[in-house]
Amino acid sequence: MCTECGCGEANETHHDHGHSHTHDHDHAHRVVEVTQNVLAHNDHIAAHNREWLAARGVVAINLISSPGSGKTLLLEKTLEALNGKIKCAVITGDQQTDNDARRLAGKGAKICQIETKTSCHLNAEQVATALPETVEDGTQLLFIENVGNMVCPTAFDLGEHFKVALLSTPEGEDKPVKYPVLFATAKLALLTKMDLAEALGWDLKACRKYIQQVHPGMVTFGLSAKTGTGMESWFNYLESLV
Amino acid sequence: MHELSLACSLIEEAEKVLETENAERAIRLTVGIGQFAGIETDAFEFAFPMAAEGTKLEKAAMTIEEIPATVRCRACGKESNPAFPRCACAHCDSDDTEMLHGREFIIKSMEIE
Repeated sequence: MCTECGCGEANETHHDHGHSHTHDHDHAHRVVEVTQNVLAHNDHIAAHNREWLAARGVVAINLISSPGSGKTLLLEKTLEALNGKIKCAVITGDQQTDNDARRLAGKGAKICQIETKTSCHLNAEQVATALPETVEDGTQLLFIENVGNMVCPTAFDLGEHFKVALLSTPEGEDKPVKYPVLFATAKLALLTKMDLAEALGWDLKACRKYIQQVHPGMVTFGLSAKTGTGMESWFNYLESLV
Repeated sequence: MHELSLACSLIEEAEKVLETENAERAIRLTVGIGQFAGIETDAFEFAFPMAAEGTKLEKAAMTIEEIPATVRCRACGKESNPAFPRCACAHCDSDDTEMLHGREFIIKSMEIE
């Protein structure tokens, strides 16, 4: 039994509450080996979120990208396409405003806006608070639209099943090697705003090469939420998850 | 830039250790940061003194040790240390790997008095 919260089994990896061993007891100066996970609190709550979602059969996807890469438009079109087929819910994070929640409303999914104020990422506690009010009975897919940022959200486990990285054509081809942690740890890369690729002289082949350097075999979809190009593959992929 | 909030979390956890050990202050702490932890070490070192101000770690020196990635391949079953930033299996190149090490953000040891 976990002594921190009384949950589950003691042998699971997320229950690494620190323990210390003291050496050199005879001196005022001592060195203690601690192996204390600094994000233990976040990881612990994330593990609970994962269990909570699994118990309800919900697949949760953490969408991460820089601001303006098209996460919200992608979700708008996705919710419209899946409405009546797959029951969806969305938790969306921004530092300020409920603009995204208003854009996503009325498309058949329960929406929850989290305003993170000064913080540049969502954390597991914020998601834990939002889950009961957002994930109604029968929900199959939960999208967590993280705060626009390619770095910080990768450090915080939210209890999602996997991460999806978005990269829009105006950002250039080499973001995967500039921000490798996101692309190495995400399961899927969505190349967005493909309708602008030609005008920008954006090189799909070069971008795929950069992705493969960081994450060989990474599944990528090129799409445009605006024109609908490539969206069918994304919808089919989501349908295969539930 | 979340390194300041991470530095504050570090101080909180370190203060718990000081309390457990009944120690007055920390002289040095060694922190392990995984290559895939999503933490910029320069920014973190910059933020640490600000987070430590007014705490029992105010005068503590910090050493950062980088923790390389270790992955276990679900395809071939072997463990390897792929060269950063790759996290595919170094033996068979499969990306179906489980990361055993490389995402840590831990206090490894503290020198206290």
